[in-house]
Amino acid sequence: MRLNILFAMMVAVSISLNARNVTIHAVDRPAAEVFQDLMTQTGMNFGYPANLLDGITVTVSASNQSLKSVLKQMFGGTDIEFKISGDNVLLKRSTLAPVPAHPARSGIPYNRVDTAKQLDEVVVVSRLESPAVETSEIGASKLTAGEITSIPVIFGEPDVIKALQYRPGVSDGIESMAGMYVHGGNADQNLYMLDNVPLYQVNHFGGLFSAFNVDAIRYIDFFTSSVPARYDGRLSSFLDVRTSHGRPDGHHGSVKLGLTSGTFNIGGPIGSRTTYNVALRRSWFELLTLPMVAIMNSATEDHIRFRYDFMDFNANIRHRFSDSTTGFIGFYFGNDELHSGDNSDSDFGYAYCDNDKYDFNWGNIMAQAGVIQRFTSDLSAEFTAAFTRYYSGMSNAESCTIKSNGDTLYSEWSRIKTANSINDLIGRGDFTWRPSDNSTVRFGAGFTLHSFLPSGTRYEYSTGSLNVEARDSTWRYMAGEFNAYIEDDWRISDRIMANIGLHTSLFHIDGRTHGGLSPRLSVCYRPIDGWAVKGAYTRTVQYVHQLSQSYLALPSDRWIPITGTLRPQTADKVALGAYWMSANGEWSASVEGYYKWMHNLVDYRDEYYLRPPLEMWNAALTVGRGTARGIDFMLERTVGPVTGQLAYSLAWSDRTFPDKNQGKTFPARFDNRHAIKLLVNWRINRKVDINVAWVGHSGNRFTLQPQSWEAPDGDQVPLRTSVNNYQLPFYHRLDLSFTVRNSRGYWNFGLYNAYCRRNAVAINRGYKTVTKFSPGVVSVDRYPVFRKVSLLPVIPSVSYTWQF
Amino acid sequence: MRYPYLFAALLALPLAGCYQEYQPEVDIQPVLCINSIITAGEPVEVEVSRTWLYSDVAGERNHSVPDACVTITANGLPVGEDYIPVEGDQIHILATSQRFGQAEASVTVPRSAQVDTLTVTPRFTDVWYQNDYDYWIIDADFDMSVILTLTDIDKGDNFYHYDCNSYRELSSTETMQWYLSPGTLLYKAVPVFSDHIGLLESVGGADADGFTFFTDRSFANESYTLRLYYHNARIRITVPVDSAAEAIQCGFNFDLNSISPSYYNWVNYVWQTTMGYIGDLGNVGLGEPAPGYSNVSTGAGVVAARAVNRHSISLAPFLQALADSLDALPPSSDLYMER
Repeated sequence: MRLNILFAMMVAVSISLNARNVTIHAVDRPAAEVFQDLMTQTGMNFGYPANLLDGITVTVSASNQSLKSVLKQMFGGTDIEFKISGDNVLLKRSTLAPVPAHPARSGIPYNRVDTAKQLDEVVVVSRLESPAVETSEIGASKLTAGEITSIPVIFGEPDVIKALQYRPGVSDGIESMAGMYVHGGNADQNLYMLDNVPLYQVNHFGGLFSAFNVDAIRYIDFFTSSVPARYDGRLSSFLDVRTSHGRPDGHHGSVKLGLTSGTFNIGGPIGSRTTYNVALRRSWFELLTLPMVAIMNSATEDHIRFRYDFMDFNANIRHRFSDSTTGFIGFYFGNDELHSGDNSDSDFGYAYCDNDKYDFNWGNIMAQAGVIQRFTSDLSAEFTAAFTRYYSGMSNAESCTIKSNGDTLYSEWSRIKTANSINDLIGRGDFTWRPSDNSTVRFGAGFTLHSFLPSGTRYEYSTGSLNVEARDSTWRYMAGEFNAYIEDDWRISDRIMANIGLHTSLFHIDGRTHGGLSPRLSVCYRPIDGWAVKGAYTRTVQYVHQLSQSYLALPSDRWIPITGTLRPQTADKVALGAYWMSANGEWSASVEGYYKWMHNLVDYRDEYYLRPPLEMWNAALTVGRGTARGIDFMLERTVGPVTGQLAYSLAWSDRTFPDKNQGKTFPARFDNRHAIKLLVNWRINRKVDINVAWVGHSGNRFTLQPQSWEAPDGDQVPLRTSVNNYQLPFYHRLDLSFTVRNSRGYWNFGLYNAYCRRNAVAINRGYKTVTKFSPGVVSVDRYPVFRKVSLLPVIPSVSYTWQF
Repeated sequence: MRYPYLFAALLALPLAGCYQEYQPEVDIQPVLCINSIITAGEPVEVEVSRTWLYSDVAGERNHSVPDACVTITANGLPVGEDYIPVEGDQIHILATSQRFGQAEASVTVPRSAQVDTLTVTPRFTDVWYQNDYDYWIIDADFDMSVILTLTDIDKGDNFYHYDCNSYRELSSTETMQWYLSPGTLLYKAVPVFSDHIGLLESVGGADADGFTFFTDRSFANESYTLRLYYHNARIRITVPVDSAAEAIQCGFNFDLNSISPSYYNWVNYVWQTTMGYIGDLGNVGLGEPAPGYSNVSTGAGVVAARAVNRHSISLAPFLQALADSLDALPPSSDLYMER
């Protein structure tokens, strides 16, 4: 999609010098597509300026011929030269070509100017390679690791989800959190995938950081409006994060030291057929908290304990068995842990000991193995077996002992433990077939065996001869999900393209089987060069939803399958878009409109918290509907020393539930009417970049309760009002980052909320105190006032990344 | 004890933030508020007030409604001031005001709970006893086991409130000192007292201390035995020797009140917003604010009902047995027994 990323790279999955004979037949096919075929067949690296192949189509017919011969066929008589050097193929124009002077927004350290180094760049094999005017997708985008890194973020932690928050139509939710509310959807309506395997837990530290380590990422594909038939299972968006495989030309990596975490990443070859990549990230809040706790404990008899950390680990290995067969295994582990408590000892005649311990851990594990098989030059497949596990565990243990002269006079202890998990076993086959040069058919099927444990709680209590043990009534649910899909990328003519697809699914749980049929259609018409008009219809189906009492990502959040009277959530979405790209590819613009109808949405009903927590979760829920509509505008400059994007969204989103807000329609929490997002990357020279990000949007909706009444006990109680009845003040924030490179790596300096805007996240009810002095009398009066709650002031950050 | 370690960490961000006084531009329309806790067998009292803007100090100080008019109907018929509600009565309260409109609420007086058995067993752990000279003195700590078996009222949702208190007032005169306390109830030992506590609150250390309201959801239409344990109960009596027999005539009232759903929802709301995390999250914008629970048409006020089922248990037999056993010991001016 991003045409002008200066040195777009396509790197083969492994190296085989013997794989240079290729078979390919193409008539007037885009050169970039042919290159993808060649890449798959040869496993070689291709490097060329991004706009080198703009609009170039090639005709080639070769059966088991050398790569050199094929390239000669393709580019003979043109001004494009190629050079095969080792495992690399370099292409360039023989005369001065309009190559941009500077790379695109990914201007950060990943982009170097010398060609030899360019082959070491990030691998890009996204299906969204072509520019928007040349595809039928609406609301789709691809981001590389470099682009993600270039966006200033809090604590200088590059973040996939926060990068996507700058896309038009994506609301960021609560300030600084890695939430994503796409086109009026909910936070649980986004499918996050790591190498096409779903992850349920994608946050660290309550959502302050996302769980994707950017150092381990090649690129991400992000779909919102027109969704390929391959994807389903969520209503609003699909995010496929593709990880690095490691480079075949040697061991390379990086070490990064930041304020909150450190990362280590290394990748390279193992022999001639295998590559690997390993990335580890871990927080080090302990460096701050452990000394603080020690100091606090030294000053008191009570001893507190506190430790929080998060980590994530990615590992990938790829092995090329033969010219046509490649195997891969991947592993991901992301985990958060919080341990706290206190221990107090006292002696007032009796020895008194009181211990409290709180332990929380939550995260996601994913493992997968697969084979990529090329059957013929037109047919290839990827077979994958995967396991993904989401888990959260919380426990609280308390004990109290009273002793006298060594004898225990009294003791009691209690422990509550809760577990919430999802285990998915996945088997899948995905095929790509090119029956003609104008058609690419993708089809496949898969089965997922889900095991849900929404809430397993065990409570134990003991004092003397009394022992109590209680468990809740919620047990494990097994579910089977079958999916099959087919789609065709069809180039009907030079001016008309279409993607037609169908995804079907069956979800069996609790003795019931739910079916889902998700047709997909997107059509692109190019009236003249550089312009495109598109339309799309997408239906999506969702069988699981997340219950959360907050806008944070907490271990108490539960993923719940559809059981009882719940039915699958569905969404129907139509979208229209117009796209323009300048002749030299420097500028592009788009406008996309959408209307989305969401059915069988699930939310907590009014006063749900008065329901007993261990009651079946359905009792606290209500099922309703929602609509979202809006227009997204986008202007991008992707070439030159100053690149960036300007996005504006005009949107509406509402919800209607029979048992919420007394059945009346109300605006969604993140119904931000206007949203403006600006990203600018200024590459001052080869060593220094400045990145600027500014966001402004209508304030989030908030349930303001302005009135009070006096309760029977005399307390003040807020009077019920309609849900999300108040719009918070306009939100805006500026983030800055500076990158300074040296021969070994680069420094990154950041300022989050640079002008220290105190944005409101809530209006709460508090008091102000007024102290009055009069002769001989000091009085303190307390007055009730509304208060604007703001979260984050300006936050500086610094990090250093050493590359090797 | 609620110990919000979790949020001490996860809400570190709000701590770095700040509050600024703010006056939102909102139009409000004050409405009538009705409060009434109706007890079977007692006259009905109704309080009518009005709502006010939270930041309106004058409204906070005075939110009375002088022109309020209250109409009470029971089982569809208007009743007067001499009306005494009984179990099963369906009571409707209507309040009107020319300025603030009208409000209404209905409640059914619940049927009294059935207590099948009640067994109280004190176990003295620390006793100071004196039975000579002029005064009879006993100062004893004891643990107390209470086993109360109840039968659920019917198949519907029923709500209960347990309470225990001394049926003799604390008193102190020149010649007598008298004190009785049930001590500390081990709330954790009664699972139904924790029915309302959510997962996050549980693992965050919140407990049911002080909350003895419960539902029949775990024993609908069946019998259930409450096993209650009191720790550090204490009795202290100092009386002239010849008054000892009368002085030990003391004990506890054990109330098992059946309460209306609105009563339970109200106390549950109070717990959730003061001890739970609902209020904390809503206050800082990280969760939905929780509106006050109300079963009044305007959303302001609580009209609830209860039926009291009281059982009194005397400690006199236990105290007498204790005194007798101590009197049987070899003569001494002071007797001290430790467990």
